[in-house]
Amino acid sequence: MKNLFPERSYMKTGEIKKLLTTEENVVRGTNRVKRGFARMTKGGVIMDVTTVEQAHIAEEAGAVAVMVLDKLPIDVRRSGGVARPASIPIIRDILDAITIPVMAKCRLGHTAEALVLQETGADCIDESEVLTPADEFRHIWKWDFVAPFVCGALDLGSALRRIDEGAAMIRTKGEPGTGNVAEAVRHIRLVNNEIREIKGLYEADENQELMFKAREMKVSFETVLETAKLGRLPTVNFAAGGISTPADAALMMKLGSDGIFVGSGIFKSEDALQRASAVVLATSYWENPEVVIEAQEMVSETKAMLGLTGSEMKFSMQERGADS
Amino acid sequence: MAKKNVTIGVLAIQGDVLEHVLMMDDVLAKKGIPTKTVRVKTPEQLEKIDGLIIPGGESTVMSRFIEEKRFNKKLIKIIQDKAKNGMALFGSCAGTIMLSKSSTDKVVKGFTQALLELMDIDVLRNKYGRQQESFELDLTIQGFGKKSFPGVFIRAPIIKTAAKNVEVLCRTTEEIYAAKQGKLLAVTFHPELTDDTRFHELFLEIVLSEK
Repeated sequence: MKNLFPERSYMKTGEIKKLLTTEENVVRGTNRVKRGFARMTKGGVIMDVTTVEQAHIAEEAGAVAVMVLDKLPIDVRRSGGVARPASIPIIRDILDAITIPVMAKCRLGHTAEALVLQETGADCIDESEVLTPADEFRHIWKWDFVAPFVCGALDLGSALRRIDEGAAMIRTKGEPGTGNVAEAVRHIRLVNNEIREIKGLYEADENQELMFKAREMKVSFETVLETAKLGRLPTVNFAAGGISTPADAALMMKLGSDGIFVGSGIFKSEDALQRASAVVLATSYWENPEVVIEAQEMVSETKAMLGLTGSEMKFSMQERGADS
Repeated sequence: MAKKNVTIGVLAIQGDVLEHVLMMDDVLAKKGIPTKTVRVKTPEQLEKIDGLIIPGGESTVMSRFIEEKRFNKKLIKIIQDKAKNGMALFGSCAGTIMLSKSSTDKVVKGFTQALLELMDIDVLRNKYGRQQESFELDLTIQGFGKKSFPGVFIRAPIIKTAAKNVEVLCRTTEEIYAAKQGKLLAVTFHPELTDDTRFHELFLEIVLSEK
């Protein structure tokens, strides 16, 4: 089979090798282990939670992981000001309460915050544009961490730049806290089309054109080549931002997402557990309309979050850090 | 033994399905078997297969789906019936939890979930803790000769105890990493994340063995 995990020299220097005390030759924090973690969440739903109660609901509903944050994206929009990570005691409480993976968000480029989150023992760190960026030009250099990172992307260039920096998982951004799936659709379509284009170049043996693409996207040639060869991103790619109904989730899966992030959509509705279970069902069985309709029947549109469209938004989160 | 046309499926509710499909297809092609690995989610798809791989992923999510009534039948019942009638099963990581007759969680006490209860093993979930404790370790597997097998352990469980009728393929003093019982194969790590196809070859042999 194709080698899905080529180890490059600079990846190796970024790998942190800790030896277990009881046994020799145990290696942690490798690219394979980090990307592998993300692979295990495929076909699942990762839910934004702010409290232990919500984390329990998410686990019961069949979430594959939870994402801990201080405020749901829609509340970040409403309250304004600087959005920072969740309080450490809350992250710890959630880590103790549930068996599924726990992820937590830090600000773009805030390496110290990410180190703190790693220290809590969180399974995965989200370098997230939902929070206020700390460095407007650089993202975190993620190779130096044992914990895997998930990062947002809105086109192929931004996705591959994050992978070059060591991200183990990508989520196409959408526009968080809006309940509007349109932006998520736009971004995944864009990424898919761009991958098709470079795949075509690879199959036509147009290496010079691939090099040109790499320069245009400011990405390493190796990452572009790897992606072109695979015909998909070298890491798992989830859809995020604005997904609020089971059918939204099924649509994103149909468009080729590996899984779904749901933020405000669930806990800003009045039927959280029902809606969470329904989104999980639709994500697993997106190919079976007879199951998606069942999922869709589980939720009531009158209880859905109201949502925002583009022109009603005060500010856009998706553009944050996208060019760097 | 004459080669038979067998169909192998991967339970595609959740998890690293693609990786198993790619590796199994590779093995089938290498052994000259013309079938392709299929993704299995519905009772109809289950009926057609001779061997089922339960991939890595979140066992809680798989538990939830197999015990729920779907398409008017419970998947758990169909898988159990088919296993009794000679269908082979291969579980990696979460798949091993699903195959076990009992499982406990290291972190959250008193945690219970629906299991297939096919294999006489007790599993401890999240033995090493959370993701940051995930690791790679080369393993010596019984029957695989001298060349070690790359073990990729991701939030891995361990097999705590195995009954006498279970053949242990890899163990340390107190932990079992791989085991076989009749037509059931269970590993606590992820062969599908490596380039080493030996476990998938072994599974194909088990599927092909007399029914």
